[in-house]
Amino acid sequence: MMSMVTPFLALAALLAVALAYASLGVASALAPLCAVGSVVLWFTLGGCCDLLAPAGYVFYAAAALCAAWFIWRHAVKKMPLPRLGFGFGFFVVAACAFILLLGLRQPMFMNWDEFSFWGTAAKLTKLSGQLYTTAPIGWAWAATQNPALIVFGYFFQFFGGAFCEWQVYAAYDVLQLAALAAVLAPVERRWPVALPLSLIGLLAPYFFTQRGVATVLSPAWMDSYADTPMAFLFAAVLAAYYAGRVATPPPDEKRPASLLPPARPPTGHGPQVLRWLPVFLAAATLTLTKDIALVPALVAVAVIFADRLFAWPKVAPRFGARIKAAALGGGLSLAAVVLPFLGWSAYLGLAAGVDRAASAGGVRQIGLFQLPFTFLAELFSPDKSERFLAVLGGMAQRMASERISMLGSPLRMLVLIAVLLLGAALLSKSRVQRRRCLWFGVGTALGFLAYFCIIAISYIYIMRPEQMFEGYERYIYPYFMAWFLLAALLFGISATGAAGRWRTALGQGAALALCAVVAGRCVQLVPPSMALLDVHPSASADRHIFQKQVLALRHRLPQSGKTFIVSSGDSGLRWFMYCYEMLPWQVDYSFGGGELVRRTLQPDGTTEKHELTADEWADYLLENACTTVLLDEVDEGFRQRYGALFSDGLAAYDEEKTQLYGVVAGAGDVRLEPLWLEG
Amino acid sequence: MLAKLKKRAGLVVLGAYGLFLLLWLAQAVFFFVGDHARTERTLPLSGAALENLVLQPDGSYLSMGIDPQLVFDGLDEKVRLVKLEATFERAPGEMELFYAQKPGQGFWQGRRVIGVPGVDGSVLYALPPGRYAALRLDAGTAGDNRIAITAVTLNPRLPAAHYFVPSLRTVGAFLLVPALACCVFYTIIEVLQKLPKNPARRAKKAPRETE
Repeated sequence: MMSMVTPFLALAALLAVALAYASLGVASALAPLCAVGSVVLWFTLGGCCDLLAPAGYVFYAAAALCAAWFIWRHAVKKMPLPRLGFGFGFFVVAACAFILLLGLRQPMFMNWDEFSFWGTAAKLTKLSGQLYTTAPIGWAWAATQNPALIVFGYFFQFFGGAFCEWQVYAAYDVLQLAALAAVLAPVERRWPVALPLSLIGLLAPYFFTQRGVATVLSPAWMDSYADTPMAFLFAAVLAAYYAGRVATPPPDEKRPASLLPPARPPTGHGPQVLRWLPVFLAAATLTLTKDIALVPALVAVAVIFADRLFAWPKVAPRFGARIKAAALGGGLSLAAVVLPFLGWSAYLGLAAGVDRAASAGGVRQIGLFQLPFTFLAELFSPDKSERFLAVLGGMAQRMASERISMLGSPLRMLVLIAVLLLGAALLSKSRVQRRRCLWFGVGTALGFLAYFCIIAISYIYIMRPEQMFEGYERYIYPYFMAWFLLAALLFGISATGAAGRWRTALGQGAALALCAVVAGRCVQLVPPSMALLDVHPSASADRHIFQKQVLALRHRLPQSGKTFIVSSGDSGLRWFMYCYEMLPWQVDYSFGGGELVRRTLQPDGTTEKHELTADEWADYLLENACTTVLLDEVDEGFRQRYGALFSDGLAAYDEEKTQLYGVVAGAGDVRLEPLWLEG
Repeated sequence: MLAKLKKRAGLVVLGAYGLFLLLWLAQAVFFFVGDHARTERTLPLSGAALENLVLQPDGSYLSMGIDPQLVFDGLDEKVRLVKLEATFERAPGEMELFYAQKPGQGFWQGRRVIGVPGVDGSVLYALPPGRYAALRLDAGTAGDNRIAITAVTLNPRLPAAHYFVPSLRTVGAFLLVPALACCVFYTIIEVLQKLPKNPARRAKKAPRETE
């Protein structure tokens, strides 16, 4: 139970900052998002300056000051309390419930990328108190991924002693809930719309990640990947923008008084800058979530620009003046996206020696900014490569055939989104809202095209040919998830501001029906025992076995050095799991583990393979200060090539068991002496 | 009437939560009394037909594929709850119980329940109350899993707390269902308020309806 104190302390700090924002005049539903954005930016800055731990102490002290200021302002000075609406209440209740539930269930990392990056980076940052980009790990760590989630996870377990996996989930869930609360902001005054929308938001991760009947644990809300947070934050940027600018229909004197309170913009009472602050903070956080998040962030900026130019007439009556206003709002939002991106790129160049402008990585080593132009040049060229055509053709085909949600293919989701936007336009009598729906539809559709092309670019120029379409659903669903949430939100805004009771009832009824469809599909496909609600205690049994094995192994390791891991035929998962579990002890997996093959990229783009001899491998072990070799899985080829290096000739090797050998440097040769045998 | 409901929206919401609580209590009493009236029985494991499971010398079972099954045939008794007490070496995955109500009736997806794990690691299956001829226990979906089954009990005597202390699922439903019911209720009220209120218009419409 003690492990629950740390996340609740972090939540309390977050709420203190959020209340301070609300007290200043930020809409209460947007205040948690502002607090989350502040944490992410502050800790990223601290991490980049190699002052992560001091940044943590400063932030918690600032949160305590915020709480004291709030109490002084409202209890001592008797100033009116900020109006805390449905969104804020939803965030508090949901965040507490998720932390409690995760604390009780204590789920563990289970998925590939949690070991290859997201979980390992979180653990490395927590254990070293340094950003994962510079923390010592012992191998060519591809630490260029953006830091928002990692630093937020660090903030959540700042005061905890040991690294705790479920607290990482708790942190990311709280971040997503803050974004979801922001999505509710424009409709929070009308709870018959806000409540179904909140349920749709809660179920959206299941709706978009569980496409068939769940037979293994569903990772929704128990996932340290950045895809779902990116989707929530993308939706939150635009929702935060719409929240301050809800279009209301023209006053109709004949209209009878509604049974429910009229929908009013949930803006606070502060200056204009406080309406923009949540948008900027959300946009900056979104950009720092994941590399590809730059695209949705730019799409959000474009939609804001179009909205101010064509949809929102209150900015300025004259078109020329509106261009200026749109350029100002859009320009500032663009700065909120571009500055963190450039800042992070500059930091990577300084700290990790990674020049993103020169190379985006992958097989072709093309610069990040050069990639879109290379793609466009090939698109309009008559001589398209075979791979180019295969990728675009395959991706287009998958738009109709691949399941990306519980309703089916991306095309089906497109139809649903179009229906929602059309419904939103028809429901509302406000011309502003109708124009908004139109420009939102146009902007996000063009944005999707750009997002689609970026994914195609990564398949064509960055990934290896055998990785074609790998993780396609995972890359594509976040955009659709945010798109769907925003379409539902616009529908909800129209329903809350609909003129006439029939339209209001129709809007509310449709929102409830949509909620029923989403909930119905989730109940149908995800049994509670396969979800967070009823996780079976043995769901993490495999991890516990592995942890026990690694713990026994670590007791046998010498005081210093590295462990070279051999795992023949491993897809990479075992290696990443070892790397994760053995932290802060460093491991080495060069030359593909059991294969021991050195790959060299040739100028013509092909890869030359050179199989290491026993002497070359022995030299490598010595040069890289490897003091132990761990045999996880060894095949016959390995035995024949390197068996001579082992003092027992691998005679005692049992493929069922893990074995540890010590590297002993003799006069002119290297011997591997047995140290430990599992079990 | 609608105007009164408009004024007392808080009371309506409170009433919805109260009604949910009452219904939940009523079903808890119903199941508590009903379950304690049934006979508790432990099924002999030796009588189970094994599919994709191999009995090991130490009494545990080893799953040989992704669909390990224990089939208990020849039953003829009223069952509502089935409790599986077992430990799994690896994560078992989905735990299902298929049932047949007549002898010779096959097992299929439409006649199955998903197990709910307990705090002690046991799994509880709640069947629709009735008489059963056969049960098929799917012990997870993991291959090469060592499973030590302690007991499979029909109609286990569960403590009163099982019925009267709300589960996390009940708490979640308690938070959401009454609130959503209120949303539906107020949407209906919006529609009802739109219906013509003028008695003269109603009177004009009435004869047309009778014709």
